[in-house]
Amino acid sequence: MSATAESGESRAILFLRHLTGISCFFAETMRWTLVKPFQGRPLRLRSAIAQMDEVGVKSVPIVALVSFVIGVILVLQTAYQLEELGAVNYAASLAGVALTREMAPLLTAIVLAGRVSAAFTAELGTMMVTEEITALEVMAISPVAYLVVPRFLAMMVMLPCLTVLADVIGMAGGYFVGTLAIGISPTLYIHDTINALLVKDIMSGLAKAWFLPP
Amino acid sequence: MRLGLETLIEVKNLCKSFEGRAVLEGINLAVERGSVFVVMGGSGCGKTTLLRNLIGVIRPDSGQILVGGEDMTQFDENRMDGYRKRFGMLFQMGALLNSLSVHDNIALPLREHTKLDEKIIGVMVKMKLELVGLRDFEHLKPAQLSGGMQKRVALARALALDPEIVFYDEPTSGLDPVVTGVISQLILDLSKRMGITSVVITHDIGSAFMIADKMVVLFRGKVVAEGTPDQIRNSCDPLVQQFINGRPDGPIPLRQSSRDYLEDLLDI
Repeated sequence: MSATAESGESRAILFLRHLTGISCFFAETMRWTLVKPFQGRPLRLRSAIAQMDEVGVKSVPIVALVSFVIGVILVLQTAYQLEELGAVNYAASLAGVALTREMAPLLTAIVLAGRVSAAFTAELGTMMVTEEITALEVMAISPVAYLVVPRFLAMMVMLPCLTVLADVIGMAGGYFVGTLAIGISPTLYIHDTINALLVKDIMSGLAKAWFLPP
Repeated sequence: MRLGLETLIEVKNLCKSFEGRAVLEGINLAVERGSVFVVMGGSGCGKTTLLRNLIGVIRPDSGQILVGGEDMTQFDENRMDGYRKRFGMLFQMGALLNSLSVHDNIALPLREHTKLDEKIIGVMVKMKLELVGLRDFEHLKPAQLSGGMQKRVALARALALDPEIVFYDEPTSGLDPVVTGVISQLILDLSKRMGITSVVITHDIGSAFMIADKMVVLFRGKVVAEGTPDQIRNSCDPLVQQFINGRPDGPIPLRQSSRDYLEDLLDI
């Protein structure tokens, strides 16, 4: 009994230590992103751009695929329910708002968490094992500035970009199924979507893209 | 002893423990400027921990490390960076950045810490590579090189900023006898010709006796013997004799377990 309590306690301490570690790491990243550039240690933009290609451009196919499918499903399933109320046409605006406000930022973040963050973890983990990170430190090059900040910046820039892409492709998926399978007239679909969307919806979706990152 | 008058690095009563297990228990040593100082000892005796303290990757629990009279264990971030630019480090596995070519690996410290033109950096990279005899391999990635070549490139990188001190972590482990000889000769040349102070952590006895001006033997976190290679070779300490002759039996126990074998088996 006491052994279980003890292991529970040490697990809690380990968990807290883990949390502290992550917080310190985040604080260090923010310091090198926001403070150090003003103290004569410029950001590594060239490396950030290379990472943007890795994070953003190479994620386009998977984000496009997932958002297209989500758009199709969203319109197809809501249309069945709305049909009972005779309000099939609302499927267009529903899909538009749901995608831009919630679905697109969420699914982009999840896809990137799976695709990119896993790659980052594997890459940096390997560098830790081969002492490359210690080597950077010993050469007086901050590993956070050299490795983490470019990846962080790439994520910050590419998440909203990919979210916009997911918005557009998701709605295209909805349009595709809405006009062809459900039978909403194309002009009405586009008209409804544009009417329902407010700039606020898109903006709040993009803001979420920043705060949902992995 | 060749130069050996001025003490460059002095370690005083250094202690470090991890989770209650003492790894270093009061290490004292002094490294003279321009000399080759070898730290020997079996696996797990604290060699690597000592080295990691010297390069400032971990901080000791107590004790001092004086470099040119200043205690580096008290350095803040900026001063530590300044200190780190004064030394180079050769890691056991080379620790070259795998995403960069050989050229970029060696150019990295120059690009980071100097404002030199790319052309001059190119010339310097060629000079450092010539020093280790690998000038034609600039455009390869580290993964395309053999282990010995990786280490030589890593040495070129360690020398990029013309350091005063070079730390070597097992420079000859995992290498064939010829490459071991090449690396040992390089360490000697650097110290003799360029006056670089070398601190070498190794358990390769042959290479250690070949390059050392002075050596210490560590055992269980303590310095058990200290002196010139001849003094060590003729030491009458049975522990040192067992270590340098590689005898399986002696004061260094084969079995590290503290519990009784039978008791441990019956306990399950």
